Amino acid sequence: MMRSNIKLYTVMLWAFCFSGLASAQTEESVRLKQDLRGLLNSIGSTKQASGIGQEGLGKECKPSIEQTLIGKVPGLWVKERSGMPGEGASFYWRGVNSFRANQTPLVVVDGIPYETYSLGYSMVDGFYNNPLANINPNEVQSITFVRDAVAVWGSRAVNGVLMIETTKADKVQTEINFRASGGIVTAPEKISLLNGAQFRGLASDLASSGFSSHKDIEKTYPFLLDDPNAPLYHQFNNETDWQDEVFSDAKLQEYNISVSGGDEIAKYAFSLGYTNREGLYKNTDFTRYNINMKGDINITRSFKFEPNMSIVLKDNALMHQGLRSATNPLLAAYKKSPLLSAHAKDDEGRDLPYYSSLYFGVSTPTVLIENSSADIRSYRALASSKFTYDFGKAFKVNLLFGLDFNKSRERIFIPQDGVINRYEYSETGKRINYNGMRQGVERSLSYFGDLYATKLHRWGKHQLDARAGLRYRTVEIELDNAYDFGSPSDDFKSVGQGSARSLRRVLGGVSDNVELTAYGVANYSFDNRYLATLGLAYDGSSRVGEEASSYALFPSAGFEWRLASESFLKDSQLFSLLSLRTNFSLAGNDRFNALLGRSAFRPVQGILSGVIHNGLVNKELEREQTTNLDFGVDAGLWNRRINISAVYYFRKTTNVIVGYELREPLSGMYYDNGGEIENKGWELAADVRLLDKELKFDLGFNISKNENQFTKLSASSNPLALQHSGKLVEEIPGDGQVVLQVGAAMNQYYGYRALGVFSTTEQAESAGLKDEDGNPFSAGDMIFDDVDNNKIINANDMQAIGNTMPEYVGGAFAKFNYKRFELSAYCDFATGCDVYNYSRVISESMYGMYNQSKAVLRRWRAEGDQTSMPSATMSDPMGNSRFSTRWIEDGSYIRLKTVSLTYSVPKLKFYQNMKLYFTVDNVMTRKDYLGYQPSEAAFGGAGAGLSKMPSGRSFIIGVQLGL
Amino acid sequence: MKDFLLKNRYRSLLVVLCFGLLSCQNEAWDDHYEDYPQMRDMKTVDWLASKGEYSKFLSLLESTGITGELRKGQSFTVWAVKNEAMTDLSAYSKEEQKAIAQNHLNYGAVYLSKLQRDTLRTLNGKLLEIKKEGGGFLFQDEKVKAYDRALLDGVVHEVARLAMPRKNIREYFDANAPEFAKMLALLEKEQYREADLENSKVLKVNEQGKTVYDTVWVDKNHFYEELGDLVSEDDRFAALLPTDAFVGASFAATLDFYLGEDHGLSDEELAAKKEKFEQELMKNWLLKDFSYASPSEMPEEIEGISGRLFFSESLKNSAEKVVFSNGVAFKASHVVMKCFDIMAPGVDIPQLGLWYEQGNVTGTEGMEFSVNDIKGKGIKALKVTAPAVGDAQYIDVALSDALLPGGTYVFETFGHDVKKSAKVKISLGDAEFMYEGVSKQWEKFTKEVAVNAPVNSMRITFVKKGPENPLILINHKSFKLTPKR
Repeated sequence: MMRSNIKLYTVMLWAFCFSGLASAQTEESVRLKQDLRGLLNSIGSTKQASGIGQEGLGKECKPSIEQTLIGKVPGLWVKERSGMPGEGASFYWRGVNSFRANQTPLVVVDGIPYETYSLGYSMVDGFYNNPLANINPNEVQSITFVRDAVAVWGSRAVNGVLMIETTKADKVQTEINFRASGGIVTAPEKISLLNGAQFRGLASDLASSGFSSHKDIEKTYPFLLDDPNAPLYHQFNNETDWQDEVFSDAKLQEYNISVSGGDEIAKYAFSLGYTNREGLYKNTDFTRYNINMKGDINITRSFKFEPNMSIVLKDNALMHQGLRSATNPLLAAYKKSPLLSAHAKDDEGRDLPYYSSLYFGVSTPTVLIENSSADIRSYRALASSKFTYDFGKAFKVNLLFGLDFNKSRERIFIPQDGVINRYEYSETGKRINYNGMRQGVERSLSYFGDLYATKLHRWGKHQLDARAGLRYRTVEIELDNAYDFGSPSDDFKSVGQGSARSLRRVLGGVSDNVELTAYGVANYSFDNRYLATLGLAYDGSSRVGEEASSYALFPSAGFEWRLASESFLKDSQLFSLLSLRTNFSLAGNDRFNALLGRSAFRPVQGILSGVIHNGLVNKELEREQTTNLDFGVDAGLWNRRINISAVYYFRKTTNVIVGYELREPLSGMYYDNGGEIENKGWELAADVRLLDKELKFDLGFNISKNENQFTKLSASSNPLALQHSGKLVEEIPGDGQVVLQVGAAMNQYYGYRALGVFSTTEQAESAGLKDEDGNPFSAGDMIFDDVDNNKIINANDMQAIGNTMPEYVGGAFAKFNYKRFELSAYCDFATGCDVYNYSRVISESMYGMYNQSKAVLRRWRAEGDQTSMPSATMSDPMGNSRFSTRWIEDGSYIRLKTVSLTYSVPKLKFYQNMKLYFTVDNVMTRKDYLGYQPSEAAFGGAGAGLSKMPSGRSFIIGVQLGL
Repeated sequence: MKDFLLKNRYRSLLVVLCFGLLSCQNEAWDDHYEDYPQMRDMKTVDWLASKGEYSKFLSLLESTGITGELRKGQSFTVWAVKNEAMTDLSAYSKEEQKAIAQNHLNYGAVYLSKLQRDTLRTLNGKLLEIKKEGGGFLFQDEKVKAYDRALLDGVVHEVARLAMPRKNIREYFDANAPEFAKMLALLEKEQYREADLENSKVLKVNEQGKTVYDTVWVDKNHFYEELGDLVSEDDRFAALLPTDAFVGASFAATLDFYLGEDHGLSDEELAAKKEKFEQELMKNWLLKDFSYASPSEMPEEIEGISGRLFFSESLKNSAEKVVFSNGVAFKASHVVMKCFDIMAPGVDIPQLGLWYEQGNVTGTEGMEFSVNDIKGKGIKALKVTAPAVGDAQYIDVALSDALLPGGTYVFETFGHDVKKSAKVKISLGDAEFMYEGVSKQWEKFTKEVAVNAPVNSMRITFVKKGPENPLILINHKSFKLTPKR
């Protein structure tokens, strides 16, 4: 066992330098470990990394890289953006450390940085164009999350590095692998909305509150009379479940074939993949075609060439998922009255062949599902070549050169019929519906080169392993978007067919970034007991302010003491592994909008055409800088049947970019490095093999805690900028706000505290609360906390009302192996975070003739009602639905993410191996959150718990066949 | 068992874990959307049934089939009556009972503590008034004794007594047909039918290319369309109750007002006048812009729907109120309607006159007309002439008999439409006097004039317009000239 540990260590050392852990490990026994135990093992070196091997990837049949990582890497919180196939997830590693800069880890695919930062933009409302969806998890051999890779990757590694290795050409024997899977995804339990009769009750309450004359009520809402002879009776007497019009169960299928082989001179690997996943909304899906080719050619004994090429075509059929119920089918389904129908009705109640008029001002979900479209087609090609020359004596020179090309094209159409469109009047006074056609193209081209040398030297008990190199990367991105409006009918869906020529808009942008890094890293070990690492990266970036220094030096250092190798523990039965380690690094973050620190001109068109300057910018804007310090202990007990790893970290980010409003008469924002943020916490991971006989049983978990504090808000050095009074309030989508207060956690929700509902007039009168205009809160209105005790509820009564980031995140797994069967289960959880549930704002505000959830059945209606739900009031004059704790919910959850059963079919003549598996994904979630998946609601100051497509529960069966 | 658990402790642990996870899933969700404690436990019908004191009211709802309606899943407001306050309805037909029951129900839950509106539509189509009075509420003038009992499908209020459905004006006429024979005859006359082609079914297109319909006819009424829709529950009318007796007595009173008892009209003339008067009155008994709570608040003159004015004096003394579902009527014995044109002897004469406004004189076109004398009442006006409109500001009235020198004559006017502060100069030869408009326009103005030379004509000159309303209207019917006895 000891021997294998040493081997593991050396292997991991390399893994850190070049790639994921798993890719460097060839033995089956090691592979198994990577699969699950590897998660933990990987931390057992000074190089902090967590890896997931191919086994783990394949069995679960994950739709994406992000899904694979959920709950598996200590400290990394993977938060899905929605259940829309292809939309992916956001990553938060060790809390939040910036407002303006990107915080996602650097993604490196086969040694080449994979551009994810700039490519997320989409014209589809609420959609994030996820570049990681281009990678087929079936072609991935390993994913490794490297915590501290600043030495090699410089600034870009400030939030960790996600190393993805695709299948390597490293085997001589010919292998043909075929993998097929298929399944269904079922929609989650729907939110219970009012039925027709209940809606009528609500509508009559609303009408009573909005009109004094019954005649006006009847005239405005004739359906309330329930008179079969009334006009439009059939139009207003349906029982439509609009969520049924939107949701449907989905199918998914995936096929993959890979071939590898060769001889000692040249080896190859080729794979081909097809993935199709339908979304839970009708007419949404995600299709991906992949081709991946790799070679490993020994041109001479010492000269090696590794070509690599992958091409992806991705087709996404989407729906708008923004906060507008006009185009978001789910919001429209929440709001649209169940009494209405999609199609117009004749006098006898029969469907007419055209859509019904839009009563109550809500788009018809059926139309959004059937007639609107939002399609994205993208191509991505990644090509790289690696040349290695071995000078002997473990001295190698490597040149890695790569090219990453991405093009995506979006086509969007919003119909006129059945959709609430904004409208404008043309110059001739004609009303033009804002039904829209949008098209956009985004291209990115990135060149990458890395020239480096490695040297391994041993003398006595000493070992030195060093690497030094120079890296260069450019990223060019070009974006063109066209908007057109008012096509003559819904059959004309292309840009250029719109009649509203004056409204037509074409937008575009070009960005060009260059990064240059010179780096060196040395790993020294003595007697396998003391290990030390020292790294230096000299980093150049074109994104920092015009007059700030483009170059900066980022050092890192680490030390590990392997106690288990010491003589006093060498023969210990208890400790097969015990080590203490510490790591330090300083890194920058330059992934913010380059225009914050650079003056630029942009063209304007209008009465006057020309160019305008982008205003006062801070040309001295610097990188944000994060100092990371951590201490860890790793232990393997009883021959490593139990493994424990614990890390305490402290991260301090300085030079955080903060926006300052400019003094009048100037307008706009000025950005300066004025903030400081601290994150501290710990990560704990453990796994145990409980049974190790015929039946093997492994259990493991990881948990991490983060404590986040906004520690300093300095004045801007520019006297023209207004200073903050220790508090920064920012708008978030859905009319909410977050606050940044010195001394408090970052991005806390900022709003009113709701204390209940006034039950009686007497209670309301004795409280004597009024709104800013002097209108009294009466029985049935919300009671808001009057912080300043002046009896007036206004902005002064707003307070921090919830955390946007979780305190604890983590995951757990259990795995049984019995003969040819394997059963595994994964869990993930997050606690201590709050969610702004915007769906409930839409479905419980009761301010208009919109359908609401069944929760409003307990609304306050009569004197003395004891409830937390205020009365239904037209237009909500008292602001009962304002941004308050009413909508802030506990976002904690624990989810049984995946359960998978695998059976290895006995070997037969015509195949090498065969595995059958059955996987259930998103098995169940324990939560208090009242929306769908709390993990899909936006935290992190990113906005409201948006009303986006939830994830469903998927049932997948698959076969893996090796020939 | 213990052994088993020990042996299989891992498996047991897992089973417990799985069940733990399963059992507590989605509690909060269910509590919020499904299983929250019910605030309302009963439907209105069931609640009424659970309360014995409403049993009579409930049995009324049941016997008239309303409970079925209540169970349809709508939301309702029920205005219930306790047993002791229930009226015996056995004298009413089933239909009437149903209407009574329906009068106590309306769609939608109306909570009085959050009351915003002043009217409610009941299930029988009536628009009932709901008023705040003192600390309480009145439901169609019945006191609300308890309110806002919120239930699953609505709310129940308790009223002191049954609110009997009121008739609308037309229903009232029909119910009291003998009293309103004339009025009903008029309404009958105004009735017409119209083809509703939009709702008619097309049968075929004939040889001439014309569409042949299976016509749907719609009954319409000119009176309803032009003056007031007496069957509408949505309108609110104030009226004088046009019984046959009222119509007849009003004629007599108006005749007397204008011409006195010795009017000297022939029977035919009188009959013609009467018919004309009655026709006019029966189109004018709805009161325009009427907003007075009681007759005592009425001004002296009120306007009817077709534009004629009434003197309200007779209403003040004898008015009794009749309340309809769509209005209120004053039950008066008679009324005097202003109608010189009808009351003038002989045939009807178009109303003529001069209008002095903003310094300009405009008037009825032509301005030259002959006048029939007012028999036996003095000097006749033979001919009234006025110069072309615009350049002069007087009217000449040729007199039938010359006024003799040394005589004293009495000039009388009803002050007709000479606005307050406006001035008119009356010239009879050398004798001149000013006639100022007064606010009480129907008051008589009397002036004695001594004449020194024969006078054959009278001149009316406009001197000053009124400040409030710069209008002077002189109608040649508005004066009398008689020798002083």
